[in-house]
Amino acid sequence: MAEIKFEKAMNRLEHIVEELEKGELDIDKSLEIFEEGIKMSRVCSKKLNEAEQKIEKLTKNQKGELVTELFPTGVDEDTDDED
Amino acid sequence: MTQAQSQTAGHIPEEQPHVYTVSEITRDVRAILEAAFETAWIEGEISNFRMAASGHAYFILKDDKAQIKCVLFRGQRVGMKFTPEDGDQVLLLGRVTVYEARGDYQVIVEAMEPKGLGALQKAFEQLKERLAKEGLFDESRKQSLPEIPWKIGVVTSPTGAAIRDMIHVIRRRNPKTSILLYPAKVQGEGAAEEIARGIEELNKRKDIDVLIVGRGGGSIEDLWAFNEEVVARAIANSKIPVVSAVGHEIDYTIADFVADLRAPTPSAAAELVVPKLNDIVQDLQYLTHQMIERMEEDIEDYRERLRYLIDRRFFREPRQILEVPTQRLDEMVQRLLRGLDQWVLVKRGNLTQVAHRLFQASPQKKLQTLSERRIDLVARLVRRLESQIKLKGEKLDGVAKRLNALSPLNVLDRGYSITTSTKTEKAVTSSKQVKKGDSVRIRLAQGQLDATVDETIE
Repeated sequence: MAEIKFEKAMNRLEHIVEELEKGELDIDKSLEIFEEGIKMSRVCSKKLNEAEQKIEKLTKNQKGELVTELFPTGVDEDTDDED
Repeated sequence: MTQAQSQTAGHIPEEQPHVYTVSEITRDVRAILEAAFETAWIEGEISNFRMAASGHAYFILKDDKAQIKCVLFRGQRVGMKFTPEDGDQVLLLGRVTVYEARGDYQVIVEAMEPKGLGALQKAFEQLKERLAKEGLFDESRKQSLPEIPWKIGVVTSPTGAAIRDMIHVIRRRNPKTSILLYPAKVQGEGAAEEIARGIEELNKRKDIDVLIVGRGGGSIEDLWAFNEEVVARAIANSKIPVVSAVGHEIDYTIADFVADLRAPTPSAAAELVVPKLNDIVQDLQYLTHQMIERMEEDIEDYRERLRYLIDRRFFREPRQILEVPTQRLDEMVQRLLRGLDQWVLVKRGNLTQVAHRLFQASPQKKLQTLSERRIDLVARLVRRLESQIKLKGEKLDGVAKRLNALSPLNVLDRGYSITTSTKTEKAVTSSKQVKKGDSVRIRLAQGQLDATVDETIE
């Protein structure tokens, strides 16, 4: 299964809540989209859990190719500046 | 006196002087001038600028006391960045010479550039007009920004205040958002090309959600790179949405017009682009919570309808059997909820309570052993009965009334009240949701009160 984008999952979740709030669905359908909604919620929280802030810059290596390297930010509260 | 004068004027020296022809003296003057000023830098104001059919241009360069005729040949004119007009202050490099046919001394222009703000402004206006005509500023071209960018590409100086400010703001708002800097010169020779290159390079990557292109404040000359066509084109060609962030509150740069969004400063760009992590988490929690509550209500509704069936005289006996379908629902919801990351649930303690309650509400344990087949049979039976109920709509009204009895509004009769924020119109469930001085509406069983928060206590 292709990775679902965070924004898409949030939008879908929002839509599901709207559908459930309308209350026009039978119980089977409700449960079906509820299940999907739980999946979307899980996708989002997983992404939030896993996302890690990286502050990097592009530099040229010896071959002249662009590579990323950490950008030293020199902020005190940041303890994981160095690799 | 007049006599003496006329005598002097009429005096002829004994030695015969050299008599120049007009051509000869003109040629000599020309040779002397050309030798004295091989080339010269001259600054002044353009007037009487006119273009000949040949493509050569003629004008007069003047200051407040003098003027020189100038010629700008087609070859030189075509390569120039701006189109000179009367009134422009320019700096030109030219050869001083004499146009013998007319006896005029003149300057043949080799190179010319606008001088001073007036001329910069002019170059700006000309480029702006040209790009606008091309449609580069059209609203229809603007891309919308991603709601939640995970990685932001930044084109700016690695040593300027701009990048520091942006990192600071982004860290504060969202410690999950990454930054990739393309270090570029932002002023001086070659700056515009570097900025454009940065936009192009970052576009080659697949992981960038939005670009911020900018620098801190400075003089109009310092910011000039952002008025160059090459930067404008790079922004227009970017597939990634671009936010311009040139630190100058009043004036717009060309980059601002082309960008998908213009921010007045780099910090402001970071604020605009990056949503607060807290808000995202709260949205997710709210939606998840709403969804579970709705589902609970659906199940409650379903259960209510079954109870209604059970209460009917004609169907007294298999009471327990009928409760099985709702138990299945409860279990299914339970199973789904177990899959949710704990921290989505944590903040609202009542979410786990909801889940717990659903579980508790399941009917007698002994029925869990009921076979799948029987459950299916029962489900079919229930469905048939439900269609019967549908035929008797008036009975369902009764159910609706009973459901209504469960409405939170009925709790008000017992002295509880509901407080909503006047601003957001949402229910206030935590003292953190309001500030001192906020107005709130308190809903009572009878009528409501509008009140102002004196103090919030956690």
